[in-house]
Amino acid sequence: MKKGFLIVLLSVLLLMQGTAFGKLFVDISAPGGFKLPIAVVDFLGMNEASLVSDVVRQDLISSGYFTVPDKSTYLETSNDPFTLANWKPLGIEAVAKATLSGSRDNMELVFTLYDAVEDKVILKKKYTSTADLVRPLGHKIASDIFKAITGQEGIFSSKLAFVVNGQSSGSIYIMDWDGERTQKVLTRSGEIMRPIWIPSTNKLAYSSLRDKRWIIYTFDLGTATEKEIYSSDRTDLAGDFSRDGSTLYFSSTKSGSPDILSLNLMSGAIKQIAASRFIEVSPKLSPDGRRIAFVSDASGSPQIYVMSVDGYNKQRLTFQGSYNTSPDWSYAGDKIVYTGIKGGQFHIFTMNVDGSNVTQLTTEGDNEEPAFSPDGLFIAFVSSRGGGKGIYIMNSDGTNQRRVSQKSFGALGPAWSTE
Amino acid sequence: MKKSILLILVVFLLMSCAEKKGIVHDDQMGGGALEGEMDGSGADGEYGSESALGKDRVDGSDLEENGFGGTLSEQEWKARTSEIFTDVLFGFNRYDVSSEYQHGLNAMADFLAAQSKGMVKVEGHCDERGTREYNIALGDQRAQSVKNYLVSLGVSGARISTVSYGKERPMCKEHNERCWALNRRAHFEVTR
Repeated sequence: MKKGFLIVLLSVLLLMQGTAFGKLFVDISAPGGFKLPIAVVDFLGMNEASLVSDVVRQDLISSGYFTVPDKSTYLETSNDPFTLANWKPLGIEAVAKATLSGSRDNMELVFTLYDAVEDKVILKKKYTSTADLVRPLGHKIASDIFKAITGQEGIFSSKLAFVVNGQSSGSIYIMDWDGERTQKVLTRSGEIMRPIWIPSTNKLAYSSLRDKRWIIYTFDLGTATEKEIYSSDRTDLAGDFSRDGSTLYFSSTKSGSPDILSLNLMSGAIKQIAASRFIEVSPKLSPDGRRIAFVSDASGSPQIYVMSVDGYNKQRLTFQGSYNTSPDWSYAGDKIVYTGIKGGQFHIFTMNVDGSNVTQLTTEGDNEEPAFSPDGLFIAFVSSRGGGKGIYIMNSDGTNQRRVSQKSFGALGPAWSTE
Repeated sequence: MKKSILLILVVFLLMSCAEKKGIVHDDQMGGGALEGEMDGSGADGEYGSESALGKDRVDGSDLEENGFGGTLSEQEWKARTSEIFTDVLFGFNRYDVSSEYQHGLNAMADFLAAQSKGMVKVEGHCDERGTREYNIALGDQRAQSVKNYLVSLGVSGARISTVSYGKERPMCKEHNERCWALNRRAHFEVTR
């Protein structure tokens, strides 16, 4: 279990010869714009080598910021020296090559990324891994390529936790961002709501229905230990955690109707943040930790509001449509993604944090439970399109929508790992 | 002979009580009226149990002493409860109890008053539309509205538990208006 999180041990041989960014440029703030053509030449050496290059290739394509021209057009293998003239005619601007050697228990991969415009090495790096971690190795390399070219950390090594609920039972699974290596981490009696990754820990938090009560639990992925952290004996729903992992924000019916509270896990102190006779639910902390987005039906229908982390300055953000719920902040804190209703169907929308610039991102089926990726470039969500629910990922502008969870799995409640 | 006189007396008492129960939840009052009652009551089940309405009622334990409350056979119990404890339905996104359920809820309160041992679990459900987490909150409020109503009729809060299933356990599985209406419900499980 823990292995999955260790990813790979790696050591840097030579980093960034010459200018890192050269003339290669991808504007990540404009998804759907220019895609950089990159050749990922089949990695050579051990049997596992080609799988690693397949993972790298797929990550780069899935990101929406790269095109990977058909490898049958390549004139070089990973063993051949890099020759600019072999790539220029193909319009390729970057070339990735690697060789893998050693044993299954101790693999060494030497990777080089070339700039095929300026004819130079952008990145040369040595990675060590084991045979059961070749997919994480591929994700790590893809993230490094992404960073070398865009300047921003790639999130291809991040994971998604999700829930599958059966008849009066619930399970939590974890998968890689591409839907591979899905593994079940727990099954309990009672349905489970969307989990939360607790920052700076190896734990998840979630609400589960046990003995007629929605109780908030944490689950330590390292020790496979579940712990009850809050119950008012009725309906308590985990919302979000502070960046340092110390404080839980949640909704509770402790005082009658669902209100928003915080719980300091160290001191056990509980603070009431937003309380009224209406429903207040789904608190999500802004990345700077200063504001909370939440849902209230004080206006007569569920709408998204923001307030300070202390519960002051409540401001309604959504005014279009009679149903806007499940907010989540982008990494930069400049966008909120949420679920709204349009034409009788539920869709994913984004807006600026002042409520302006409402943009509908989905058009098919019913969609809900959106979650930004840790870098804010992608959004995971649940969709019923094509029959049966599943987890989908799209770029933050709504392009490049694809299912990642296994078909007919009924995956719900995607939660993106914080790193 | 003696028993039937008692029975008549009980029925008469119950009827006169029904006249006095005051609170009518009318749709036109919107959510506000009911929410107002829920607000501030704090401890669940406290509201109404000390009220004049509550004291006005026939005490269930008296009835049992008279040999009535406990005499229902298992079969009769099942028949009576399934007849009386029928689902309370709600509008889309609503959790106020519509006035059309007033008589049904009165009958439930009457039944519970006559049975010293009945426990009620009120399940709040939602239709498949809407988001999962919000529907858990909404289902909770539906169950709570019904509980508050029964408590206002004198039923002890300690005899009523609530649970929200949100949209997790729909009774009607089709994706249409008919099923959605049936799934927006408070459902009752009555145990002895």
